[in-house]
Amino acid sequence: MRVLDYVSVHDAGRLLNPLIVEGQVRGGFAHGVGAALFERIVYDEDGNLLTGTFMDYLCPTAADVPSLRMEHLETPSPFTALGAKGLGEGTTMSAPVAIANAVADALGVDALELPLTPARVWELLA
Amino acid sequence: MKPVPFTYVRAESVEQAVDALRAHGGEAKLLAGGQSLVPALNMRLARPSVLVDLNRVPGLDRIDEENGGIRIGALVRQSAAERAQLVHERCPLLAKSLPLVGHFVTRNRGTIGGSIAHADAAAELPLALVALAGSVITTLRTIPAADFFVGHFTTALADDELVVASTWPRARSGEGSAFGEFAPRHGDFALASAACVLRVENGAVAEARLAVGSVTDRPELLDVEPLLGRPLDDDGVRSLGTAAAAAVDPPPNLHGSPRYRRALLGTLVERALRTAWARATETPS
Amino acid sequence: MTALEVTVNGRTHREDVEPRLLLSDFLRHTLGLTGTHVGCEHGVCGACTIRLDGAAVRSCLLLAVQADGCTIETVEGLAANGELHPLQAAFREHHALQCGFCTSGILMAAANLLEQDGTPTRDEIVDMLSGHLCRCTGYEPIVDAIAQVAGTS
Repeated sequence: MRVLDYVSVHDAGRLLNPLIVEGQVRGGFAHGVGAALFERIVYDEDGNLLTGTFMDYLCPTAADVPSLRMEHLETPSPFTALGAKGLGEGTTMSAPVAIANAVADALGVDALELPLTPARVWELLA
Repeated sequence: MKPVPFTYVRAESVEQAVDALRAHGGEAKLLAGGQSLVPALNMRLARPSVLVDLNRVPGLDRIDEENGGIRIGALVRQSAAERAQLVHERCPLLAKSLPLVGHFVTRNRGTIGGSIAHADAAAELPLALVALAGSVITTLRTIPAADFFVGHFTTALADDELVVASTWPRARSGEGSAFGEFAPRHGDFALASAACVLRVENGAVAEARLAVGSVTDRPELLDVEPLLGRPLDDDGVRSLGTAAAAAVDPPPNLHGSPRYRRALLGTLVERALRTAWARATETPS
Repeated sequence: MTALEVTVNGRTHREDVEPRLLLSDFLRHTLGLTGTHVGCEHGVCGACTIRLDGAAVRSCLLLAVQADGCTIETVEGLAANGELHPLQAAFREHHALQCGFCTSGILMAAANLLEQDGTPTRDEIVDMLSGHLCRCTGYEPIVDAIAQVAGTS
């Protein structure tokens, strides 16, 4: 499974430091990709954690995070002195949803369990 | 996440290392690149009372031509082999498998001999060595690769025997090879892997070797008799893929069920066969 | 205890250490060079990467005693005479670090990669980087920074 394209648009009000804003979006995206495709906490029948190391708990690496396109809307907030809103890792929440919906659409199913590992997607296709 | 206390022995020669192994029986562990052993020490999965460091033993870090093929000293770093012209010229299957071993930084330290002696069932180098019908040279004897690997983390090595080198036969004319694996991420342990060597003569498969790994407890050669004496065709590829998937019984894994891993293997075998054929037939024989 | 002599960032140190002391802990605790970070201690995260006789290696997978007689470079030795190393400058320019935990290891590995292969492609940079975990940047700015120094951006 490959993410062919991903576009992220946020309205963070007035961008005080665009470099930091984009850093937050990119970092949140990587977390979202991890949640959507890799990261999983697994316990055995006796309650032992089986994914307690970075060998078993898979965080996405540079080879696993697809390229990201970003756009910004800047609607100044009337409630803050500089018109800025918050933007902390917002894409963490949207990326899993967007990726899961793309997979659901491609496969014609409407209930999916994250992460969408290759094994799970294969089971859905089999 | 710290090792238990141990006695550290820095071996200055192969003889000293063997002496240390004899003196301490099964209590001593050999330390080469340490990319598998030190994590096990840190997690206290391994608790040797003596650690025999081989890294200062001279003469084990050479790559030499031998009988047209290559002989790789046990302490040759994986990154050195990856960059060695001789490896690319003589042993393209090894050259293709090396970049799949761990990562850039771990290959700088990990050794060819260490990976072979560690004998992880999912490791690339043991699989490539078996596919190529290479050998392991120890302090006592020469062991064909297919006999060296006995099981997951288990080899034919005696308690006081150590790997000195491995020998990798030269790719002959008309030969094509391919290495394929599927891992959750690049550098992870593969869920299934396959390595294949075909030699093509007069448009037909004259010789074939196909080894599979990760799904078995050691690299295993599969029967390729049906491929011989004719060109590689879709039917041959598919039936061997199906046969490979049926021949193995992988244990369940966090990242895939036995059924999934068998299906992966079938696909990897098919791809490896097609790639090896394409490479064999594009080189002038 | 075992006697150990190492040259770290141009300075020679003589210490007596327990054989089981990891090189990462030696650098951080014995020498106080805390720029080398310890993430997973089993060779997966890459945060502890340093250079041993020029080769980028995981310092959590080496015993300090193994470095006897060797030359080590850590991130503290990267900037010379108060000038940022080109990689450090490019990381700053591209916002290639946020919390900075992974940064020192990546810098040491990238320096090795660039010395070995002056013009790695983007794919080769990604391949090298796949041995390092970063939880902040999403990696792309790191690839951009290294590619800029390599002249392959």
